[in-house]
Amino acid sequence: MDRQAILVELKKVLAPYIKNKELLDGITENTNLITDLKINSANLVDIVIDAEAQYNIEIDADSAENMVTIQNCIDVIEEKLSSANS
Amino acid sequence: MHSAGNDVVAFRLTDPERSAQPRFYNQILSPSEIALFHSGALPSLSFHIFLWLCWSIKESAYKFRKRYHPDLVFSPTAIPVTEIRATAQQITHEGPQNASTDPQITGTDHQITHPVLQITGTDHQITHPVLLITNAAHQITHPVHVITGRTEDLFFRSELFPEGIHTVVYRHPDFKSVRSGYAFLQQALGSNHPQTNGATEPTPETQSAAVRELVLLDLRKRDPNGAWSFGKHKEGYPLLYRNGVLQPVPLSLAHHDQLLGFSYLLPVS
Repeated sequence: MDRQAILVELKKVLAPYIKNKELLDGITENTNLITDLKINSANLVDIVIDAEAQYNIEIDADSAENMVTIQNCIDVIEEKLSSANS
Repeated sequence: MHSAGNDVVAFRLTDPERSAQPRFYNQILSPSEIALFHSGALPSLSFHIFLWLCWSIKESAYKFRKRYHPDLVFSPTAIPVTEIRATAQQITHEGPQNASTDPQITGTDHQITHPVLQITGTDHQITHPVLLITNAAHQITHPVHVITGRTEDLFFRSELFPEGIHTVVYRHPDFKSVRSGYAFLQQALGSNHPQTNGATEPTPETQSAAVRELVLLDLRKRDPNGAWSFGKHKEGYPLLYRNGVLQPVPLSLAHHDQLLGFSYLLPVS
């Protein structure tokens, strides 16, 4: 799965936690989950758990704390997918 | 270091079933905190409430430290809550669930008169407001490896009530220099606002405006002659201006669903 494909799925994971759905259209790799997408920090763990289910991976707490921007999220998911397939 | 940190959690947006899943709670709680829960220190708290209490403490502590460690990354399991103790008191009023009451504010000219501990056990069975009074026993300790290379103890004060939790963190066990409060959106914006009466979900912009209005309500009460306004530091934390002049007053804002919370450090008089 390439980064673009990961992003497409990631948007589905994030959507329930974004009140203004128009923000999804403007997502770039530099987008910050909290400051740009206005996701409440209390939902960050939900996003990690939902991402685990979406990509069939496991994300440990150390990796989860790095999921601050879209780029960070894709990096973590890409790494976990790679580990799962190796 | 002068700083402020607070957080609110609205139970309505939390999921007890998800909280019970190890993959979920292991992202928030360390093994020592899970052991703390099972130690019976707070026998009347359900695991779900305990989990979100810890979350609010950790989030508050993160905000407190982030101000002077801008590169700090929020890592819940790296902020261990080492001790929690509740003080049980008789219920004295109904707390914030009655939206017509004043916002709950504590500080030098407000004694804490709320409530407390009538927790009845299982999830969402709390029928009265709860106050976990701050003292030296309420201590959270940051791990050595985060930023500074040394341990820092912070202290928290949390209030639990039927709708949620408000937590304030400070560097001393004595909170007399800390002004803090929590309220519902409706109390800041009025009952006619469409996002306070359940007609529509509150937007982040509305929540942000409402929590600032809550702070202004408090500041105007304390200082009727000041023209107070807000700014934002490039690192993201709020700034406070009086008559256009930046004030050396650390301020922390929080919102979640219909709940608003704030804390700030009172200027030295």
